[in-house]
Amino acid sequence: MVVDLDVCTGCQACAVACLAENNVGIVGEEMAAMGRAQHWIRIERYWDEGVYPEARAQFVPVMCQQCDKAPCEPVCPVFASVHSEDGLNSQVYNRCIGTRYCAHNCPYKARVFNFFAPQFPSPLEQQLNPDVTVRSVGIMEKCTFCVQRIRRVRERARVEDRPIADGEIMPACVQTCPPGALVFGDAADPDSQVSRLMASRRGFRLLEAFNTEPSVVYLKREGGLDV
Amino acid sequence: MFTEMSRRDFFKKAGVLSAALALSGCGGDRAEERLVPFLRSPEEELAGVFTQYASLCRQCPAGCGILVSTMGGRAHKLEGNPRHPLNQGKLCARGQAGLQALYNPDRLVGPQARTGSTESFQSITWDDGLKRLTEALSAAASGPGSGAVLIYGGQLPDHTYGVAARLLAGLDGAGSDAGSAETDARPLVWNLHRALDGAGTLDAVAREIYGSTAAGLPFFDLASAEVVISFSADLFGTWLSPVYFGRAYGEMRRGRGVTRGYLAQVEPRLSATGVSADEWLAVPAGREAHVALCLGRVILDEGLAADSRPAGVDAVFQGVDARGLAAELGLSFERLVRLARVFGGSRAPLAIPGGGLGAAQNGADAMRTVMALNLLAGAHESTLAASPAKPAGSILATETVSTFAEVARAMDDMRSGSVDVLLVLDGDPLHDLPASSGFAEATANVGLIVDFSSFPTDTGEALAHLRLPAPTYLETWGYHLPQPGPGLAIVGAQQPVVRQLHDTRSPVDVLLAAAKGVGGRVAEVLPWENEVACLKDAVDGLRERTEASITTGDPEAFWARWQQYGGWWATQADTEMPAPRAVRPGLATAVPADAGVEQAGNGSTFLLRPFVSLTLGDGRHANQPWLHETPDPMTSVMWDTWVEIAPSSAERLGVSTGDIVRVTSSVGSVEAPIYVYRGIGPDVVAMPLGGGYRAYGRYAAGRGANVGDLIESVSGAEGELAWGVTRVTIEPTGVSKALATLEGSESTVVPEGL
Repeated sequence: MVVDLDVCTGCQACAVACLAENNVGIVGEEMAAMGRAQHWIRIERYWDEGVYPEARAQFVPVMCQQCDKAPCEPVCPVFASVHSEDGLNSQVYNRCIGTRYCAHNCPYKARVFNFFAPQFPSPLEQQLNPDVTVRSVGIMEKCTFCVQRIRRVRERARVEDRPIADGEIMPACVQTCPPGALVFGDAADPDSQVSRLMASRRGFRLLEAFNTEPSVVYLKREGGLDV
Repeated sequence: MFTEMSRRDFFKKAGVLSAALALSGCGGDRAEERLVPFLRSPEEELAGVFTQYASLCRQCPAGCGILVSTMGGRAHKLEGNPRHPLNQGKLCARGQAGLQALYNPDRLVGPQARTGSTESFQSITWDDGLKRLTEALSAAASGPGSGAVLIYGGQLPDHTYGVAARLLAGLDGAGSDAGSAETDARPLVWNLHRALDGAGTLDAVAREIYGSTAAGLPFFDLASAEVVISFSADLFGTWLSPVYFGRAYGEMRRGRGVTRGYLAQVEPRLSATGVSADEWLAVPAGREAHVALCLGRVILDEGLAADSRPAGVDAVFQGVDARGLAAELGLSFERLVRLARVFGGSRAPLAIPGGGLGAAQNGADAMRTVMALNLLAGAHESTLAASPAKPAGSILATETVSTFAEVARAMDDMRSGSVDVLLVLDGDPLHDLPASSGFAEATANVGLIVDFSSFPTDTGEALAHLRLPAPTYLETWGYHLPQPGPGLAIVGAQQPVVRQLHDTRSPVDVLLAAAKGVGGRVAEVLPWENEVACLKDAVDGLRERTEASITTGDPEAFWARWQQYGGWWATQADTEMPAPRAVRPGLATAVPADAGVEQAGNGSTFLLRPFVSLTLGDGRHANQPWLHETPDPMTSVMWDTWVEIAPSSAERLGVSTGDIVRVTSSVGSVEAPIYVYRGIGPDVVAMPLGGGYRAYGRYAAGRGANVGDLIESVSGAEGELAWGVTRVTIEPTGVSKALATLEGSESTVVPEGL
């Protein structure tokens, strides 16, 4: 995935799309104040040095970076946090025993824990996406790159006996992002849009020094007025 | 929950159960209770495969197209409709959360009437409810004079507005053409969100520029712009049509392959749009348009004005001392000169007259000045045009936002006892109007208050006599002409995507039935059998246009495709657009006498800057938990209303983030936690709308504070509300709370009861 910070407006469309797509639970004010809100994607706002009237800030959407060398994986005693064949960093809910080692080891704070069972007062349960499991108490969860959507597209392409088109797979956040700041695709295909964007001189990865080899590339803002 | 059961027992019980299901035709009475809702599936329904229906988002007035993914008769996901020219497959945070309006656990499940003695609501039948409504309307129609019926809506779908306007016209004994010379009876459409958007003022200014026949907000072609200066418009958060502007911004930044567009933002409080901007110009609240005056003056002085500018537009900038004014605004003159050169020299400049311009009494003049800057720089040749003409030959209505003067007049009418019936077709006036407008006490003299909300609103709970709950927008019909649009005539189609969950009826159906009951002129102007018949009639005229997304002569085929694609739209922009005329000059260059607020370091008085919450809007979404738990982009606060204050002012008052303060204006007082905010001046505090409900369900009730309780009812020069001139004092209460934010998770205190 590519996140173009030059066009991200911080509008939170991705955050709500993710809550809806992935049946993410709502924890309420007290739990959220304790840092237990369960967003799989959040928009971080960083202040620059200046103060009013020169105050400036920057939005950075952060989701699971689907690291190639994921620090969450080797610490899981039950292989709930494992690498899939496609390079996804998957979380197997049925294996998870809730040690939370993975969350402690994630430098991106991408993992969230179900301290309580999620509540969906009737008839709110009808909003749930039938493609996605509702996680129970004691389970760790995180962004999956909307693996259910990847599956659906892959199955459709297989039935129709054709390759998956570039841009055909769209996680919920990518699909809804109004300015198109989020782009998803096959990084192994040199002709895909993400591959071209990843090669940009603006590209960088979050906390690269940790050598986690994230699959998400950020494009830094352009700026300045060429007069 | 599972008891021990042997394999044999299991098969026995399963056999009995399936037989029972077969006999009863599938268990419960309501389809929604069944695991597999359809005994015999509709043709298009395939188990495990989503069926998508195109419809319209009604979470805000913008009117984006949506696709609703349904499976087994339930809606599971809302997405943007890729075909709809306004949002092209995109959707905002609030739009995504519409499912929680539909499946809200606190919805009203059927009609209710308040019983006189106990003041509590009792369920009634629809026949009874309609009878009560019809009797009241009949009495009002036969009474002397006009105006005995008042219709209020915070935001009304265009077709509902049209039917409501016809009803009022009919009650007045006038013709069907609402808003014509025959009658001035119109539904009252206003709330703080609309006022902060400045929609009504912009509409009036656009009519001055493009002529009174060009109804609707102008087309701002942000995608094609090279240099954009936004004057207090939170373009990508809340202003008018944030998904359209967000999408266009993506195209503008990527330069459509040519150059990367440049965005400058002029505003007193750093908004999310200000963060996205390349350049942020902080100015005193209510003086944004003076930056436009400076820029215009420099463009004229440097000879950069467009040759095609309408005659007389220069007068707006006459006599402006740009250098002196820049100093007064606290901006470097050199910086403004540079911006003016880039703007004036661009082939595609665009100045956006945002809602924040309406903060002070001179709101209309401020918007005129910004539009004059557009005309001066030649934006009308590239990025600015009149709203596309309403499709010819149709009877399509468009919602028109009222002015605050009209709101005040309506309050006076209610107070004087000349309003017999108040129909609250949408929204929650008790919460959404400033408390100082006196809505609550004005309704004491109204004979019958009918609330059509789907939810137990503050108005419904405290004031309504009769509740005739509407279905949510995902369960009903409609059309909407988006404003501002993407430069094409669009008539979006709304259709039910699931069966109605509760015993609700569309307000349009209710009004049509009541009109039939009243009879006479009212029945003549509302002749339709039901909402669908009314809609079919309204959109039928669209078949005449040839350059359009649907071209068929057959009315039934047209109706089917209109629903299938989520609407009808022109495939080409109008060729004959009205030429712009110059606006009249008016913005005084001198500082208004009352604009001098106490300077920093001088006591605890601040100017109050209300702003629309990106997640909760004006509070309409406060019953949707997804949006409560979505952080505000600038502060990352969830679940609460906060007071933004500059670090220096916070230090002076001895308060820090999380400290609860009492905010008091001349008309009211609320308590809310402080958020120390770096993007605001020392003499201003800012608060988001959207909190402070007494009712409105479990997620909204008793949460946050209502900024509307603080705002003084000060009318602007042209009847708009000057919503940004209220002064408040801030006093610490000595109490603090842990704000729910994304910024750190230091709190280790386990709250009581957990």
